[in-house]
Amino acid sequence: MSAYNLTIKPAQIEIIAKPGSSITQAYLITNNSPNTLYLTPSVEAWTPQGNDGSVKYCSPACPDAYNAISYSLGNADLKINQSFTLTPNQSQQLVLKIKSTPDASLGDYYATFFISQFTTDKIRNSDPAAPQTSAKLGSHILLSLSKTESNPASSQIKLFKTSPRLKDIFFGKVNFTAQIDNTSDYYYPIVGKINIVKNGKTQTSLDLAPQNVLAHHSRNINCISPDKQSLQTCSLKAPFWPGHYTATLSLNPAIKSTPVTISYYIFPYYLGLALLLLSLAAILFFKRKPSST
Amino acid sequence: MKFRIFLFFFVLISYFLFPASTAQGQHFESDSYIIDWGNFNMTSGSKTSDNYRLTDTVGQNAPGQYNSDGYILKSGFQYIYEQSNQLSFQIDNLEIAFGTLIPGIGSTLFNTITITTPSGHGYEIYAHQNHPLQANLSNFIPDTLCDNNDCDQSVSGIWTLNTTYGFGFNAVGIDSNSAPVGIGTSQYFPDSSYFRQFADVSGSETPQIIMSQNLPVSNQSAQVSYKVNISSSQTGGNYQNAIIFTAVPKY
Repeated sequence: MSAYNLTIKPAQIEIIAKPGSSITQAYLITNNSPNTLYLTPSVEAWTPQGNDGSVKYCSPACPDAYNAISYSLGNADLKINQSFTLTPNQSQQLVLKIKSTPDASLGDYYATFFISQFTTDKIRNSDPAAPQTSAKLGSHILLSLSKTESNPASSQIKLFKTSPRLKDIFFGKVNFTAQIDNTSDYYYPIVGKINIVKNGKTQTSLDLAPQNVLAHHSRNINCISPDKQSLQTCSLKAPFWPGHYTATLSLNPAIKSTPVTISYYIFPYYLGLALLLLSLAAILFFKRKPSST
Repeated sequence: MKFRIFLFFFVLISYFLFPASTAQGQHFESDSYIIDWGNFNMTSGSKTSDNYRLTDTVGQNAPGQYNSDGYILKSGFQYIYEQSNQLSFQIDNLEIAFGTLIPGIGSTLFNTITITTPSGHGYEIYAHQNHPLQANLSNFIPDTLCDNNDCDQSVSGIWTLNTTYGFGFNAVGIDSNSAPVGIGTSQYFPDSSYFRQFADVSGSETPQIIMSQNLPVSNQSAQVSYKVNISSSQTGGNYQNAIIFTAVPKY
């Protein structure tokens, strides 16, 4: 039984480069499977899709500007689209060269460096029906062609919402959602926070996850976990003090945007309900109790 | 006086013989590039004090930021502690061999796919086939349309009837005990009775997402079920095709 287990490192590179420059990036490909893998490197361009970091491969119908970027391998014995083998537990360094033409349009270019398992229809006469599975592993390339190291960034905060807007003090979460709309020509990571304020005092704040929002595209926000180790949806866990709260989403001043504020309320629903039920029970109890006179 | 002169020369000689320890970085320079690496294989981790929180990663080869005359390159996930900047994908069994098929009795085989993503990134797994299961150009097992003729490469449908013929698949997220939980797959396959066709690139269909998550995962698995059911009129032969799974991080 053959298996596939491959690792590519790094899983994404982010580059700001001058038009006409040449960039070299080393990738480490490791075969963790117990059998030899036959692999082929390739590069495919893509455009962003949706608001959650998805991509849509556009080849061969990519924007014409993408033709200004060329990809090759710096390895002496290997070229793009040329197969190589990796024995079990073997690693191979692939050196990708990314070159833009001097007259390339300023702006963003997105692609994926793929390592595809080489496969063909394998005729096995003993098996009347036998699909052969294989895999392809990709590492994204985000390339900004710019004449400056600090690209101008501008954005608009959209659809900043909280749910539920009326919340109990004890149970559940208060969730925050929003979209960051990149209105500039270059990608940038979302850097900002949600400040939670009650009675004019900041109660807590949530750091936004620095996920990339691509040029002229939107991205839903996520937050960094309190221990800074991972990402999570933006939310606050109960218990809460009752009252009126405001939440302000603001981005780093370098990303030109206008902060957006929303409000929500915390009420002691369940506590009130419990007291009401206790009161009703007490009233019923005392009404049914026979008079001693 | 002699002692003072001796002391002066002793300190002077000691200065040149035993220079004070300095923070030595690695420096590489050419006509085109200058690269300064701060350190090699010393430490990494998260440091905190009452006033500051510092994360550093020392000794990594690839992640980090490099400045040169022509470009800035980042290959890590900035601002949170870097745990991993690699993407791993695994298929536990590449060969799906149905053996002899009996008309009207569906055969189902399984394998498991597993993915681990880098810090700060979710993932997407696409699937497609090079062509339908075929013995030759005119003799093939059609892709399933499911029980209600309502599924294709992008929409799932229920397939439980033995009178529904074709080839299809589903993927159901499983936990570490192989129990079905649907994480990563439920938006594509509500449960294990739902199937769909593999996108057929020979028919100009584009690979379709079958599993995804917006947040990072470690060893997240799904069981993929391959199902084939032939009618009694199906011509005998060796039916083959290639199924390709494509795993990429979310940007």
